[in-house]
Amino acid sequence: MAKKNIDDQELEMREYHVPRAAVQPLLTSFSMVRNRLGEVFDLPQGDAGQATRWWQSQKPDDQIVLRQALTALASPVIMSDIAIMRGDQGLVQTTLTKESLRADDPAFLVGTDEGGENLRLRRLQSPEVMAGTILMYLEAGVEPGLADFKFEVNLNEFLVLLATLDLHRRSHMISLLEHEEAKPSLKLEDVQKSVNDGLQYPDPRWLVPFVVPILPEKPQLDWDAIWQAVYSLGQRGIVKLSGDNTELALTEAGDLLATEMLRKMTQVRIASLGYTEDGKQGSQTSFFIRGESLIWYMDVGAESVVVAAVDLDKAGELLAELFKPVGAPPVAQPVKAAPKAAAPAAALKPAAPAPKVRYCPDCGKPATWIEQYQRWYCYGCQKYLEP
Amino acid sequence: MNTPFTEKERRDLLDAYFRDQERSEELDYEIAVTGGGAAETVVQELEKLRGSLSDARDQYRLNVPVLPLSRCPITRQVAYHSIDVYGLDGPWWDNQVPIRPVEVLPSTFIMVLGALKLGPSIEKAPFPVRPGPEAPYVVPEVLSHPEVKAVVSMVKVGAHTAYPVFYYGLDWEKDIEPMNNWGANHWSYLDRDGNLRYNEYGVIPISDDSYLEDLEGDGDEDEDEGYTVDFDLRRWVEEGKLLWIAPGDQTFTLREGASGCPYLDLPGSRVFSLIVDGERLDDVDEDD
Repeated sequence: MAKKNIDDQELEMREYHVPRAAVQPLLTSFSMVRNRLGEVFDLPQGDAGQATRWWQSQKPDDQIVLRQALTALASPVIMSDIAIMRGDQGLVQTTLTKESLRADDPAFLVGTDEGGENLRLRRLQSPEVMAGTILMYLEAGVEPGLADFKFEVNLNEFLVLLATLDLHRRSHMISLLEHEEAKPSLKLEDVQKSVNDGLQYPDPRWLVPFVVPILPEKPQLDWDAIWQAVYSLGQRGIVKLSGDNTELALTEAGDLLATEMLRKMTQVRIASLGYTEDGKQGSQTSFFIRGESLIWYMDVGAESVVVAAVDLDKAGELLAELFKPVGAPPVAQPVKAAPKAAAPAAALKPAAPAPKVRYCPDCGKPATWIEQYQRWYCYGCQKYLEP
Repeated sequence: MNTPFTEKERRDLLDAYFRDQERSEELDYEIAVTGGGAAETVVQELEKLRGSLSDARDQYRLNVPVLPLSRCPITRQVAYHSIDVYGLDGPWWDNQVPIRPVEVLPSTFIMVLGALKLGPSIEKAPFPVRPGPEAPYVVPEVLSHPEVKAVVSMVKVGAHTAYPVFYYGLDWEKDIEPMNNWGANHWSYLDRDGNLRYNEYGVIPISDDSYLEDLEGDGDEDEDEGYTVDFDLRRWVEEGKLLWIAPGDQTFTLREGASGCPYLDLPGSRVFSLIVDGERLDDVDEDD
């Protein structure tokens, strides 16, 4: 995929601020058709009169773009939550949404202002602009190298691996501060503490807290689970356990990964939610991390995570895939009679529990049922709800 | 005023607009016949009226309903298009100078044509209205394109029943000249790059003098390959080229196939309508 130039005028595009309370009344007064995915945006039912006055205060040229934005909010075919952390600077979060199945049609970036009163909207000529921006961050001014590095782990192993990498980075920093040599091995009990710290403190500068919010399962790792994960990572040749099983050291492969993460420049988290061609909900969760010299891609599936080093072209292909809608969500209009076809379709999947409405216990907003993971997800808090 | 305007707000706006328009025409005439010797007060009144008329046109353009009318089978987007659903006396329906907002449509949009089955009474308007024939039709020369599909739907316009037919496609531009949009004397919309596209179908570009060759020729040249119309929708529906949206379906679900399609073999005149001063005429070219 062709890279976009950072100086492209798209990056300096106009940002539109829309009162969140105005969106629902405007969708209603403009008779906009809403689909199920559009319900994910948690928008309050504001005053219709105020919404109309706000709308009429906008310039006609702006109203054209705002109408497009409203239709994208009402009937998106894909929504991608994107979080970008450059170095250890602030976390940038936005949601890419588009209403057309045509891959290169315009999209919108949707965020909220600090007070949460306004939506911040930017129109992109196509999702490729966003992909190009992410690629630019991943390139980080230095062409990444190539490495034949790929392995697959389960979710527990993935989490323990990230906790180990975080611990390795902390140990390295401490050794610098203390003018000591870095320790060649890490205690298993410190790995356990790194796991627990990562789950407890939402500091996205570290890998575990950055990754946890969109993992399909809330990690429940006791000592046995951690031990089992470390053992499996040892079997995969990433770590090496000490003879008394109390410490671990990184193998050559593990050390490459750890060294890369010591000087990671950019980490990107993308959770895309859409629908399949046959109208079923689907999602894809991925991470990109630009290390010192390589780009690392982590594709999170329902049961496992694939970790691989990829080049810039491959990263571009993966990003394009993440932002590409496949099918259209069902329309969210009140339906008086259920379609006859719904009954046999449901009968084909008796194991899948019929989702009911659930609300996030932290923010109180409606959560979204993720079919692939059979879990509820809160887009407001960007995390899965407890089963 | 609300956006979109209510029926009463529209009525008040149009009543004032038509009254001002009539008065401005009177003043225009007065100034013309006096050879520029009209009283200063007349000139000032006319200037004031022109300002009011301009404001009224802006108000109408900004507040005329933009409604879901169709859905693109390629992008699956709902197509929102302006339309004055309160009656044919709104300037949206003015065939010569239609007052419409900039249309923002799916990137696959080609054109929108339409038909309108007249109700028991027809509104009087000080402009010609060309709402199409009374039964929906397709343009075979456009719909035959392998990358083009059309969607027919239904919307009430005052006491009348209208049938917009939207054409969507990919890679069509080199093969198809879009026809003037439904009821209008031109075609225009805002494309996905933000460019306002405009065309007047049937107008010979000034730079094109090839028509002179026809005038000078011996009459053996081929007939002009213009567009035709086909009211037999069944074939197109069965071929999957013409999709339809059930009347009143607020989900704008695209449907295929002739089974249950309510747009086949509809009654009504197949001749295009020209409405002048509340009266329907057959819109036929006298040269034909």
